[in-house]
Amino acid sequence: MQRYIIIRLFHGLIAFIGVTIVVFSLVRLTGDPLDNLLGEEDDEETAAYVSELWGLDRPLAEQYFTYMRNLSQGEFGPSFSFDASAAELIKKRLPNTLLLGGLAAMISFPLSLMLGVVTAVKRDSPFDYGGKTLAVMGQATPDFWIAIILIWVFAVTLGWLPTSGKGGLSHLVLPVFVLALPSAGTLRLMRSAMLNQLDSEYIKLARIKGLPEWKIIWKHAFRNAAIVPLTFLSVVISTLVTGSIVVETIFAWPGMGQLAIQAINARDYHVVQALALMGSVILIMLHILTDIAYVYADPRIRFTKMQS
Amino acid sequence: MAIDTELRQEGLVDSPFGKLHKLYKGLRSLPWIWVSILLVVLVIPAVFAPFIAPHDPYEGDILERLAPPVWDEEGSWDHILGTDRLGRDLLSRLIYGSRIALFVSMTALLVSATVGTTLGLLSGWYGGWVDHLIQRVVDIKSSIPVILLALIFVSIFGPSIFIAISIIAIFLWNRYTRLIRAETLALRNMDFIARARVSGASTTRILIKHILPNVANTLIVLATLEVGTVIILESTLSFLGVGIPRPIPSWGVMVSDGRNYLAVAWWIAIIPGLGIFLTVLSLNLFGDWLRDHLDPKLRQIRR
Repeated sequence: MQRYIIIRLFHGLIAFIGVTIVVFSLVRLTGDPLDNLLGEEDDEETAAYVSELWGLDRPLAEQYFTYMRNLSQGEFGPSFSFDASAAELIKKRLPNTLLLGGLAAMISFPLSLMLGVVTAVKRDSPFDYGGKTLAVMGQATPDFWIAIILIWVFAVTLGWLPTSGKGGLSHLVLPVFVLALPSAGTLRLMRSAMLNQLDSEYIKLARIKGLPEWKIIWKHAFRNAAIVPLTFLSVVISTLVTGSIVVETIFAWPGMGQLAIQAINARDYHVVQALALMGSVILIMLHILTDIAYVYADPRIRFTKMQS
Repeated sequence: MAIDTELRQEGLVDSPFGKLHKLYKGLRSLPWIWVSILLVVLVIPAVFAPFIAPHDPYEGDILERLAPPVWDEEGSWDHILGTDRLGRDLLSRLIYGSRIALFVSMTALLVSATVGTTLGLLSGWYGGWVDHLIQRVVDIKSSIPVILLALIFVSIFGPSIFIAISIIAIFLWNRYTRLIRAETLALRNMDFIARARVSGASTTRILIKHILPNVANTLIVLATLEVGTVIILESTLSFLGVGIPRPIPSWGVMVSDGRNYLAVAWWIAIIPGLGIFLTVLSLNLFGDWLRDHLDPKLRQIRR
């Protein structure tokens, strides 16, 4: 187990270095780096500062070390469109994004697990078919379009909810709902995992033994079936990252996703880069965590991984 | 067991969802419905755009701005689906938009399938350090949130069709690698490969002449199922302003254009989204049918 964790951490480190090399070389190897790093209105003084910060007059290898040292100290460079450093901007926006993403994840993940169990137990019921039809249609609908339809119906036409911005609880309803939608894929996954379990020998034995049905479902089948969606958790979280950019832009939510789009429109490279690196670090860590949790949760995998 | 199933079926007939599902099952076994929707919404408009489109997709008449669609009381047959804020005909822009959707998705698909398949073949065939190296690249790829990567690209190069295609291709290649690698691993030790090797065939020849034809079904099914993903990704990027640049009529850009006019002209944002939805739904269901017929063992690649 320890060995496996160490190997996974090592792979994570390689992935992170790979990401930094990609981001690093994109700026340095496509034309004049100063052109990429500066805005249109920046003066000589800023140019000198940026050049000094990233060591642009040094050889490439040395530039990369300067780059990594800056990153490790949380220095992502100045933003020229917001009049603050990229790190400060992120610090200010991060809580808003976490609020929205956290709520969406906390509502959608347990809910889709539950519904997955229910649709599996009530297999072939109208409820099950309704879920399937919705899943097929949901896969074909872009998030941003759903968001716009919801704004059109509930905010513009009916006037029940605000169209956008940050405020009271009512401002949270639509963004959280749209952000939570894509993770409904977990529902189908949980359903098929649950069906597999309910079909197995040990469940039959539990039934013969005379255990009450709720105990069979929630205590025996659920525990084993829930391992499958666990691996899906990292996929859910990476769709949350993408989704929050879309949702924050549409609902004018002052989080990191909106910041990313604002920065791109101003071609504010330092901010964009800082956000991309942050997102990558979060994703890498989540991949490692879910891999470890998966191995931990399933003794069979734990055993084979330890053997190798 | 049989009685049980029958009872279930009986109970179903009455419920609306049951009927809906029966309809869905019936439709799914009739691929021509999906193919014809695809032809009408995507392929025919894309190919014959200049002949079908009633107006110029770029030039608008400012006097006709925000004209409602024909079924509205104030609508006219001149602009069947209405006009946008610059007075451009929505139907014509939709028709030209299908051109963008088809072109971008086909090119991105071709690039990602070629790169992904090649790496998958190499990874599965050679194993060892080649496999390790390719797997690490896959790791790095799956650690970068694609939209953020798209932002970095666009912040350096500015938005363009070429950049959009590159981003989508970068996003999708690893799925081919994973599947093709697994299949190559299984094929590598089969007798017919050993015989080809004994009779002196080169590695390149074995990979192209013997392995590739055996993974072709997988490739076709995966590619068909991916077209929908590509179209959604392209429209999302365009919607955010990091995909197809304005004024090119991409469906995602059109939805974005209509965002601020929901109260006065809902059709600008809602109708292009309907185009995306219909196209992707038909593609996915056609892909499901194709998979069932070509390669049923691939069930696990879609939830």
